[in-house]
Amino acid sequence: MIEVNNIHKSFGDAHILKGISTTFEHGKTNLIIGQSGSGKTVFLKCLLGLFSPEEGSIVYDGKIYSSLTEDEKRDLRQEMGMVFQGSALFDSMTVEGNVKFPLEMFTKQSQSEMDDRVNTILKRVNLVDAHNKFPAEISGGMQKRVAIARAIVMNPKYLFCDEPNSGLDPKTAILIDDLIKEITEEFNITTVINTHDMNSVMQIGEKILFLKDGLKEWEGTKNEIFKTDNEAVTNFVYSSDLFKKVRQMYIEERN
Amino acid sequence: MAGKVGSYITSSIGTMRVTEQIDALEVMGVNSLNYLVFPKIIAMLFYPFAIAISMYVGIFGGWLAGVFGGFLTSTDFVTGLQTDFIPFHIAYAFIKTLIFAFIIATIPSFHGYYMKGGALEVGKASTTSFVWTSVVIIILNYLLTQLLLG
Repeated sequence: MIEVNNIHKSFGDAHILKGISTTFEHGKTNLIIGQSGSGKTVFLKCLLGLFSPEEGSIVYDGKIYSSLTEDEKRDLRQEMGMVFQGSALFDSMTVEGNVKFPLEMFTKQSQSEMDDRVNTILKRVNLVDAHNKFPAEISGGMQKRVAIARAIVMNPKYLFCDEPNSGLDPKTAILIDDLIKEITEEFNITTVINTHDMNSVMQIGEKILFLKDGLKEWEGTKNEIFKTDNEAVTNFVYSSDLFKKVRQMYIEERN
Repeated sequence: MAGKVGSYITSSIGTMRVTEQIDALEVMGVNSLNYLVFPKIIAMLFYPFAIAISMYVGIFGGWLAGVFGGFLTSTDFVTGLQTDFIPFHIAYAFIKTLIFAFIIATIPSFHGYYMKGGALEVGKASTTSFVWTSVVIIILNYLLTQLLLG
């Protein structure tokens, strides 16, 4: 479980996060939504330890991140997996090399053990024929799957995804969403996803956190998001005609 | 070397910064600065070997051109080579090479690692690192020459 207590983050005069508190439970898919510039990415980078909040604390299963030593932080980071918006695969390594990289860095497994693990994970993300291809030689959807494979190869306790299906066609985006959801349940991971894809919200969001101007505007489940009267949330989530109709149908069905 | 190797170092590390590959290393718990820069410093410390080869090839080329061009005999060439030869000049060359190698590895790495922005800024960082590397090498060249040969 990740507990976030009143975190603040500024860059110069720009106060990006203005005191956010929330909890991300174990084995659940938690989604952070909000408009561009609402502080989602900064919030996620604070969770990852890439940015240090000026105030407040982030607690990972009882461990307060800011009070850990550098070595302890490094150990904790090895329990985290991250899927970046642009996949962030290492250009100079093959798909196999990318997935094997964390194993080579942090485990003392033999070459055959690492190969087995890489094969298992690549099979899990439905990538079986791409071992020797370089990131530039595979599609965006495949790159995302490699990024997911690299993120979970060390059996992380926490999985973070920054807009995992941005730039993907709707069908591939659904496949990636489903994959993340399945992996979260299968490996019992605390998953936090940064997105503004409403399909993802409706499909895999177990807990949804809505940020606005660096503040937590609303949080709840995907069922609660249909019922909420929060104007900022409804304006954001139901900005498209399709979702407005879906919500209308849902409300009519309930009545 | 500052142009070729330095620009390559800045642009490769800078591209890793832009495409969040450095963030990916940090998230995994890898000390990215150490992982990316240290091997380049070690590799560049082998630069004196390249200089030794270039010295050998230079002398051999001079001999080839001189003898086969009909300008002088082999004996004249070797005599000329040994006249006024100061062995410390070899050490002086290697000392300078080692220091320049360290400069060529570190300044471009700094500009690549700490760059901000996108693809355009990678190009700008490469240019800036080349300028700074060249300036530092020129200044150090003067200082080292004064210190070692003055």
